Parts: sequence; structure tokens; C-alpha cells
Amino acid sequence: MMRLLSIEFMKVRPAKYFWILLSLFAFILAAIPIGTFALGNWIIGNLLPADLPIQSVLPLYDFADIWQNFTFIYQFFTVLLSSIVAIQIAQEFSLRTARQQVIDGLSRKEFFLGKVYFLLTLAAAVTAVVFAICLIFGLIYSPVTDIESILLNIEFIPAYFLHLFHDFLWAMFIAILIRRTGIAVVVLIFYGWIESILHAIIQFALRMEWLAKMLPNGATKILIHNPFSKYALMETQTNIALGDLAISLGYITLLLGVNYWMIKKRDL
Amino acid sequence: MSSVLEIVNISKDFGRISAVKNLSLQVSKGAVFGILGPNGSGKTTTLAMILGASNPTSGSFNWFGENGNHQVRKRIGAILEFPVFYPSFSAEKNLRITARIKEVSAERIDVVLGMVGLLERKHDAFKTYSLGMKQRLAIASAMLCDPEVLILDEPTNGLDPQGIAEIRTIIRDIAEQGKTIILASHLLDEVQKVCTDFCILKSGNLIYQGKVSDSEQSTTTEIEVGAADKDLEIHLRKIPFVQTVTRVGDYCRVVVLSGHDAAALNAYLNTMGIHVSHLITRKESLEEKFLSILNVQA
Ligand SMILES: Nc1ncnc2c1ncn2[C@@H]1O[C@H](COP(=O)(O)OP(=O)(O)O)[C@@H](O)[C@H]1O
Ligand SMILES: [Mg+2]
Repeated sequence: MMRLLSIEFMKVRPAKYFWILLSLFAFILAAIPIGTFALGNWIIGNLLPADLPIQSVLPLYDFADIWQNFTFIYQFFTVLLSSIVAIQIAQEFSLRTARQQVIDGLSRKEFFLGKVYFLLTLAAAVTAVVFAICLIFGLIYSPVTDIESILLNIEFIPAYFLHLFHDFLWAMFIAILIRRTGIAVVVLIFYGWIESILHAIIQFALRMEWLAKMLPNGATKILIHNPFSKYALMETQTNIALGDLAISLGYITLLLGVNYWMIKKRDL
Repeated sequence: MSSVLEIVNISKDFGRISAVKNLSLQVSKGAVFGILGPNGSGKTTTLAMILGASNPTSGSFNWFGENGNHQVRKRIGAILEFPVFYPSFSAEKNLRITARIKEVSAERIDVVLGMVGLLERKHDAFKTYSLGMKQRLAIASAMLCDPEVLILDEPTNGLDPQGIAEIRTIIRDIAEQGKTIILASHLLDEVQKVCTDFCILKSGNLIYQGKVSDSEQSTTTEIEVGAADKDLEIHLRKIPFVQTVTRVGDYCRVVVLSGHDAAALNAYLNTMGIHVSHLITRKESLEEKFLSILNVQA
């Protein structure tokens, strides 16, 4: 496993796109909690009518809400990371390096496992950083910092990890299917947009929520529901539904299987 | 001689096109084996199958007598079609990845780069290389594991004469180390210059297999002779250095033993009192043979 993982890291470490997209994502990770605080308070103080009940953005940072609040927002930027995945994997086919590596003695299974280990490592590392950011900002701004409040709702951290891994496997699927680097990234992004329109139609016009949930790209964001409706005093889901977890795990298994099968069966 | 590679009835279809049809081949240890055939004859497809990059439609093959899994490929160095590397990475970074895949020591990197004369350029990005340098880097990469078999697919394609000469020298040096080499090429000249054995593929069919030396021996000098004398043929057969005589229309085609030529034949016939009215030397090269084999099978 370490050999396969180290091979994957040798492939990304000298690559410019990897560092550019990763830095951009890291910048967003830091900018959102800092920016929300600065900009949000400025808006509340200067633009909103003074008689509104909202005094500051600080409740966003409260334990245990912070876990869901930030993992929910960060989900929208995962596409930067899944673009890394799509570029890296599609490139292996368009440059023919996948073929050369199999010729050099990598089995197709090892090629697949190397990618999966890499995706798991990337997802785990990003999750760890997100965990640290939420913890730090919570400790600074949350009025309650007892261990019980902190741990309440911490399940959104593993949920975020599943979201990342699921999203990466989806990008891997598109990359293996399309094999052309530029086109794969464009399809990944455009399909995401088109699907969200489709999602709205199915959910609101056709009123088939169960079907909307099954859309493959949207399903990657199924675990972490929008927490912000609660600040408008609406009913809000603040836990992870078992049905959603089943859909997510089902998709992860399916994508692992299909991706492996495509690498195994198709000519390189 | 033990066989390094054995292919049994291998076929590959791409939809309705069959690129390789029921091909069987054996390559013995130490051979420099040429796979000769025009573009599209199935050379690359065959190599891709025996290297695990393409799944055969039917048939089987084995390396070193084992039923080939991926481990066996770590003992083989191979390049298909064109050099494949990460363009923006240096030669060294690229070869480090290959070394890790083949599980060989990174110390081999400088050895093989030295062998192909790229040591000074090892920190430059692959995309800055000339085509000849890329091709040499590909050979270096194939030599990383000190392979028992080296497989090259059109290694001089697109190179200028100097580049071609450099690659051929490298191949010959490697062959002299006693390594088995499989070389696919559409250039007869290339196969003739470096190979000991060869086969010819056409439209996915194996149409000839033999030793290069055999086919060179049969590269014969044929002399076409014409004379008024109607017993020309009988006289020709009496000449000691004449091997065969065939009648073609008004003329006789004569194959002479090596070391003899048209002048000698003419002189001899003169001593027999025959005056030659028509005398043409036709040398049938391997090239003509290659072309005629291809045409016969068309
Ligand atoms: N991936 C593919 N899809 C469809 N046809 C292919 C593919 N690869 C090769 N072919 C066809 O198979 C035949 C043999 O090709 P190839 O093995 O590349 O020939 P060579 O290497 O001798 O020039 C050609 O007709 C080619 O068009
Ligand atoms: Mg070819």
C-alpha cells in the first residue's frame, strides 16, 4: 500500500495544477470563517436595519452548530479538489501513462488501488484540516466550550469525509470514462450545474424528492443538510439521516465497483 | 534454445475490424526478433496484448514459460508506439516513478541515462527534449530494470538520419549484451540491420517467419541472358558456377554462385561459342522479397 501511495504522490508532487488548486482551496478554507466574521458583522452593523433581532454572526460559530455550518459551506468548494482528481486521472489516460505503467509492471488492480488510496489520503487530510479550523474558531468565538457541546454533532466531520471521498470517486468515474483531461474537467463542472437544475425540477416541479436525492452528483452532498434555515427559525435537519447515509454508502460502493471494472476491462 | 515468449493463436477484434488474427509466435532467448509489417498490420496491437495493455479477444501467451501476470513484466522493458512520460517532469523524476513501479533501485537511473547520453539533461523537463532525445529516454526507461527482454515499437519513427543512427547503435550495443530484443518496425532496412530473426505481419496475419541470415543468403544475383542460340539453356546448365536456370519468354534467368557475376558468365559463354545478345543483372533484395511476399498474400 505504501508503495502504491508513494507512486501516486510522486505523480502529483511536481505538478503545478495540484499546488495551484490545493492552495486555492486552502485559501478558501481560511477565508470563509475569517471573512464571514469580518464581512458579516460589518453588514449587520452598517447595512441592516437596527431593529432586526440579529446582533452578530457569532451564532454561526457556536458549538455544536459550527460543524454543520462550515462543512455545509465547504462542500460547495469541493469541486476544486475533485478537479485535481479528474485532471490527475484523466491525464493518465490521455498521456498514456496508465498504459505505460501497466506495461512497466503495475497490475490494473494496483493502478486502481493506488488511485483509491490517494483519494482516501486527500479526503482524510482535508477533513483533518477542516476539523482543526472548526475547532479553533469554535474555541475562540463559541460561548460554550465544554467538551460535551463540542462533541455534540461532531458526526458532521466524518460525514464531510464521506462527502469528499464520494465526490472524488465521482470525479474518478468521469475521468476514466472520458479520458481527455480538459473535457473531463469541463464535464465534471458543467454536469454539476445541469444536474442541480434537474434536481430543482424533479424536487419542486415533479415533487419526487426521493428521485432528486438519487441524482449522482447531488448525492455526494446528501449527508450535510442546509443548517442556515434554522436562523430564519425554520425547521432544520441537524443530524444525519440513516436513509441518506445508505444512499451515500451505496453510491460509494457502486462507484468503487464501476471504476475498478472500467480499469480492468478496457484497453489502456 | 529456451523460448522467452510464446504466443498461441492470439486474436484481437476492434468491433468489426480484426487487427490480429490467430497469431502464433515463438521468440527464443538471445534472439533479436523483428516484427515487420506495413502500418496497420497489427504490430502494436500484438505487443499491447502481450504486455497487458490490451485484452486479447482470444488466445494466450506466456513469458519465460510462466503464465504471465504483472510481476513478469517487471523483468521486461518495453515502449509502445511513442515515448510516454509526464511532459512537465524532468527525466529523473519520470524515471523515479518507473523505478518505483518496477521495484528497482533509483541508482540505476544515472546508469541508464549515461547509456543513452542524457545524463547532463536529466533535470530538464521531458517536453523540452528533441524527438531523438525522447526516444533515447524511452530506451533508458526500458533499460532501468536491466530487462531480460527489451521490446521496441518503431523506435526510429520520425527521427532524422543521425537520430536513427544513434538509436540503432544503442540497440546493437544492447543486443551484444546478449539480451533478447523484440523490434516492431515497418522498415525492412531496420529489421535487416539489427535483427537475427523476423516475421512479417500483414493485415493481422502472420505471413512469413524465418532467420534474417537465411533470407539474406537467398538474396541472390540473378542474371537474365538472351542469345540467338536455341541451346542456350542447355549450355548454361553446363557452367559450373550456375545454380539454377529458368526460362522466361525469350530469355533465361540464371542464378549464379556468389562471387560470380554477369561478366564471368558472358566470358564463359563466349568460350562455348555463344554470343550473348541480352545481359541484365537483377539483384533481388530482401526488400523486393518483402514486397513480393506482401503482394502474393494480397
Ligand atoms: N483502439 C483501436 N480501436 C480501433 N481500431 C484499432 C485500435 N487500435 C488499432 N486499431 C486498428 O487495428 C489495426 C492494427 O493497428 P496497429 O496494431 O496499430 O498496427 P501497426 O502497429 O502494425 O501499425 C489497424 O487497422 C488499426 O486501425
Ligand atoms: Mg504501430
